[in-house]
Amino acid sequence: MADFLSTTVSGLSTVQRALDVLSHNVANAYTEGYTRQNVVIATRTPQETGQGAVGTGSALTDISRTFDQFLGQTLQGALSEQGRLGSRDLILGQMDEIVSADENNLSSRLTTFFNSAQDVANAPSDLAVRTAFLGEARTMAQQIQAMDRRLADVEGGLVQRAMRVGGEINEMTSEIAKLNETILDSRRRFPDHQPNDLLDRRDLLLRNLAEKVDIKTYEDGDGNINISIGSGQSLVNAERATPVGVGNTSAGLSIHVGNSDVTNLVSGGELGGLMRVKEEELEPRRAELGRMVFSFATRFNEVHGQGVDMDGNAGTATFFNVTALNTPVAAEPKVSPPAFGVSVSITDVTQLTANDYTLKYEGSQWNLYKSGQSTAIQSPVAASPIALDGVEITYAALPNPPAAGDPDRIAIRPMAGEMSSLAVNVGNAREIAAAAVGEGPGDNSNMLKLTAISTETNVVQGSMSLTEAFTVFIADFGAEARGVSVSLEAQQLVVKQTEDRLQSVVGVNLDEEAANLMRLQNHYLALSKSMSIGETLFQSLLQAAS
Amino acid sequence: MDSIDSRISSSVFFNQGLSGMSNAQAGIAKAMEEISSGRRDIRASNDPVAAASIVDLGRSVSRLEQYQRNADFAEARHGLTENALQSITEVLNRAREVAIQFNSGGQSDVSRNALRSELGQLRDQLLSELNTQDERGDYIFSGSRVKDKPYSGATATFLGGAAAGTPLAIEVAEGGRQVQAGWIASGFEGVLQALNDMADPAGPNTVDTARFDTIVQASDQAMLMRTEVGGAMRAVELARTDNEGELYGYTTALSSLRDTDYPSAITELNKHTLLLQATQSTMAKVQGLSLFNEI
Repeated sequence: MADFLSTTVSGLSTVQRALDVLSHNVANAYTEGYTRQNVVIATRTPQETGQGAVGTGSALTDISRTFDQFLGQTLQGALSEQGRLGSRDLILGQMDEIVSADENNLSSRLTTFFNSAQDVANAPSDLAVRTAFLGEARTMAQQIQAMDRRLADVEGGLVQRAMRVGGEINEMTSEIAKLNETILDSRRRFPDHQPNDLLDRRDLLLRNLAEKVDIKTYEDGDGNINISIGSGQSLVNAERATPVGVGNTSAGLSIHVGNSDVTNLVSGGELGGLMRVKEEELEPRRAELGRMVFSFATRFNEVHGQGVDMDGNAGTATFFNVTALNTPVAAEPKVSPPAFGVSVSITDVTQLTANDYTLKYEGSQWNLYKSGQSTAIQSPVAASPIALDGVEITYAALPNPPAAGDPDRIAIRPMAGEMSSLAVNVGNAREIAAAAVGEGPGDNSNMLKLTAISTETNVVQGSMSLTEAFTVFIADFGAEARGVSVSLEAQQLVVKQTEDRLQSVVGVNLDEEAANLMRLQNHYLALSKSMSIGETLFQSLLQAAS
Repeated sequence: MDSIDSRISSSVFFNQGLSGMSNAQAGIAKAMEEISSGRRDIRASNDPVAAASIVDLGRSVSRLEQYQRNADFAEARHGLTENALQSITEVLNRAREVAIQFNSGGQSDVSRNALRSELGQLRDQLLSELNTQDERGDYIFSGSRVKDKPYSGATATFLGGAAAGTPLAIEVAEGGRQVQAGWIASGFEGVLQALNDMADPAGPNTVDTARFDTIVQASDQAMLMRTEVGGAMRAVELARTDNEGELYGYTTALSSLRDTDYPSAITELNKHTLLLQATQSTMAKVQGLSLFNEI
């Protein structure tokens, strides 16, 4: 009879334990990263007797978690891509507000300016009209400056964001390293059981980390999760985490892991997306706008210098404040940081591109890179002066190797600063050179030439008129931005579907738990009944014996 | 979701309801914005082709509107010039009549003096018309030297003998289509001199052929200039009609790209409202359906 009772008690405690696990499931039904836990119930060791093996009840042997390694890995990859597209979409969206906003873009600003120039052509001797035109010119210059400032703000925000993401990555990797340690410790103490909740927590952190940066993970023999980025630079090795450093110098953003520069190796996740969108979209598009503004202003200056003002004096060839052709500049922001006598001058507007260049010291020599190309265009860099796409780059002496404190990277941005410093140098409306040489103040011949700049071809490189160039810019930028936002939507769907699939395997279904609860309730009732019957039998036996 | 995933976790149920509601709300907000602003939300990032077209069309519309303003301006110049030339023609016609009267027999000294006096007035009137100024005080017949008086007196040479330069031309349509908007009234020295001579009480008693011819020639020159002004006016009219046609086409295209299509915006609004209501009631029902209620 003692066996009967102990068998029943074993069942009761098994059911109680199962109820504990069930309530843990219910409590965490909406906990992020939680995976449903199952109880493994087995028979206890039977008692060998002459009549046969008598069962001794049930025991809970393990609490396992349901996990799908494959779906987990898929989700990790999908999240990296979502993070990359998300940050790209965010930055392109901010740029879109600035460059293509209806009625407030470069095209409409230029149109307003040229319309005002037409008014001067209609009444060249009217001082009021001339003054209004100067006002429009100043407004346009201010708006272009503001546009550039807003783009610079987007860039500043991007850099801040990249540095914040770097901080988040470091928090997560150090937590993962700690979890590796705790998990290993738990496994050493209980080799037959898994620390389920800790594993869930680590898996969730891995997914969150993957969204921030593209990572590679592998599990070592001890069950540690090791993480690397780039071309294998370790972020987490067992219980050790190596922080990433996101640095911002005037030559650009950089990412380091320990001493290795992984700037060009990180391309996924939020961080990779931010790095790439900066160099693939934000910088070249801003340079492209700068090129259009510079080409327009340079041409305007040239034509203005060919006319005469209201008093018959020669017109100024610096109506707009832009860098003059064939004038070497060796200062920020065009040369960054200024060093080694590096300078850049613009030699031919019709050949000009929106490219930026970078001088980099690599291995044992200086190489020259062009924006958008990962291989050097000159390796080693050619002798000074170097003529490229309508610009000329010169340098005095590039030290080999650079001394301590010398830069090993110099960014050369020919169009930088042209929009931010655009201004109108003419203050007196009489000085607008509306007339041709030899004509009186009623002549508008030169003004008509100035208004014709808006449709003149070859003002901007590529045999395009200014207006065509801007339309092409908008269409090209828009196609990229649209492509990214469509891909992001598709990727969000992929993430959602993968999450749903994973949830369908590992998530908690409350109805299922309720059904299990009913089952366990019935089970418990049956065992209680056995217990009371056992007790009754025992009692009657005692009474009979007394 | 395919048949493999017959098991659905409670959090998926919950999240699906939630995302369904926020999608519907976003749809409602977008439709409301379109309806209240009258504009569709077109950006390069959501419709690059339309955005580029809007940039092009917007610029074309703005330029055409400017050309229409230029045309107004050219018309005003033409009106002013035409008025002055009409007066000049009338003055010269009257001068011709007076000259004929002057030469006819039976003129007494008294009547001749009366005619001399009228010729003097005609001379002053002609001088004044040739020196017509616009609203800014600029001389309209001085070519580009608008600040210089064409004839400083009845015996002066045009602009004191200086070059008049190019008369004003105004751009009135795309492609650099220009019309003349200023004329140079040089060559009226002869007629002014003749009228001045005849008005002189000590002057000759007959208008000789040479003097008479200068009046006729000046009259012809004024007529020729009026013909040119008339031609320029017609050119402006033609440009204006062309511009209007283009403007209509461009603004229609712009409006169809940019303005809210109300029937479809309202349909979108209704659709998303219905969707939100349906999702809300479904969610309430599903969340209420739990086996725990039965225990």
